[in-house]
Amino acid sequence: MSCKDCSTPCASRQAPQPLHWRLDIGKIFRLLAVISLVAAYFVGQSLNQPSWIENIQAVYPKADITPSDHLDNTWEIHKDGEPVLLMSIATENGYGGPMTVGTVITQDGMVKAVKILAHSDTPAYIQRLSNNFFYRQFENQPVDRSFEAGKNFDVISGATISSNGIMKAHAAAAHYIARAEFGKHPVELKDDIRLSTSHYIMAALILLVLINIRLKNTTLKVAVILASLAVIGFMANQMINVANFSALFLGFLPTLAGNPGFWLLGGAVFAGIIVLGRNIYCGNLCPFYAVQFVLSKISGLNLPLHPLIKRYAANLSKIGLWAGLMVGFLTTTPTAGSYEPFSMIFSLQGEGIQWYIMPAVVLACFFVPNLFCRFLCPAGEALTRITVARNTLVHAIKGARK
Amino acid sequence: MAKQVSGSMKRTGIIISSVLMVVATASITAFLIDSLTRHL
Repeated sequence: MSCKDCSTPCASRQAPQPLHWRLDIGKIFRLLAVISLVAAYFVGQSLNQPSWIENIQAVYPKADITPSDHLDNTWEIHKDGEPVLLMSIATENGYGGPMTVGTVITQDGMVKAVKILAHSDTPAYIQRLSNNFFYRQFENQPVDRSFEAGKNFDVISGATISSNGIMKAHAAAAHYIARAEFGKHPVELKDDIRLSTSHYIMAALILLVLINIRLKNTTLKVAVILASLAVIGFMANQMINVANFSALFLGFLPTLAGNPGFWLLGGAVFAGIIVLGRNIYCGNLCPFYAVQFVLSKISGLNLPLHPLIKRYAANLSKIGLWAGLMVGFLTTTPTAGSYEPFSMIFSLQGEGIQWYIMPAVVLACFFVPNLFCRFLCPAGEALTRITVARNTLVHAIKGARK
Repeated sequence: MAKQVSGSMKRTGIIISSVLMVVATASITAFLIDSLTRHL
């Protein structure tokens, strides 16, 4: 037995040990990462102060635009020196963060147009709304018109949260003008929590994962993985990604009524970490893990990795988490740093280079099982960091009590 | 029992997995740089 493993007091152990100072590269990198993220947060906040008049001018390039002297967040659009239109703006949370909508109102209190002035959503989702003539349902309507999904307001399938965000921002802007300018009393929007079938199945899957922590049943685990692929992936398209963590720090979290699936899944995973000290998402509920699981079963391949990859590639997910947060903070757009191909696989909505990431990652996972989870997933890395921090804290508290 | 594979097959496997890893990492890096430049 070496001295290291021995707890018996002896002369050797009681002798004063010389102080050793060792350069810990890992700690230095972690410190630099935290400092750079804090700096990026503040730089992003200062760089991205919106100038609404420029955004409005981009919509009406030839018009003379001035801020209203008696209405908040409202601009007058002039023609031949006379104000002919009002644009009132309001901000609501969309899928990826805040979206600012400008509602253009005529002198007789009718909505002429609804324009998105700024958003943090994936551009493909916003394009989907334009392609489906989503905005037309707001046009030529009285300024005090209220909305209720399914009755007098159509959401675009696959972009439900963005649709609701735009509707709420438009209603806030239009109703403000209805009250302040036209003396009307519009019916306020109901912010009810609407649960769908996918939410109930998601809750059941979370429950099964918790039960299986005790049972450790392989068949049940596989069933949950495949069900999460169908429900959390294809039905709800509700994955945990690095954009959620950026949004958390930037204060862009959706409301409970706005995105109940996010709170159900995120809440359960967070509670699992805090209460059980376990990450119940990775390898159980993550639908992209399920994709990799299915690919691996189909191929039956497990290509060997280069020793350098084995040794160093585990750091890639840490770098990915840092880079994803950096881009999210610098641009104040959480989805800008979200490089995960999850959403694209289930919605087939993407843009530019995202179309290269998905096949590259899917092909790689076909040959090397769970390659994305093992080496590249920033959300998995974030959940692991939180779990480790929680467990370290709990052990420290228990140690202090003893 | 683990399957025995020849040295050349193992080398080919290492080359393929390394290429796939590099392509996946490069595409992610390109996306992040592109995203940053587009949003700033």
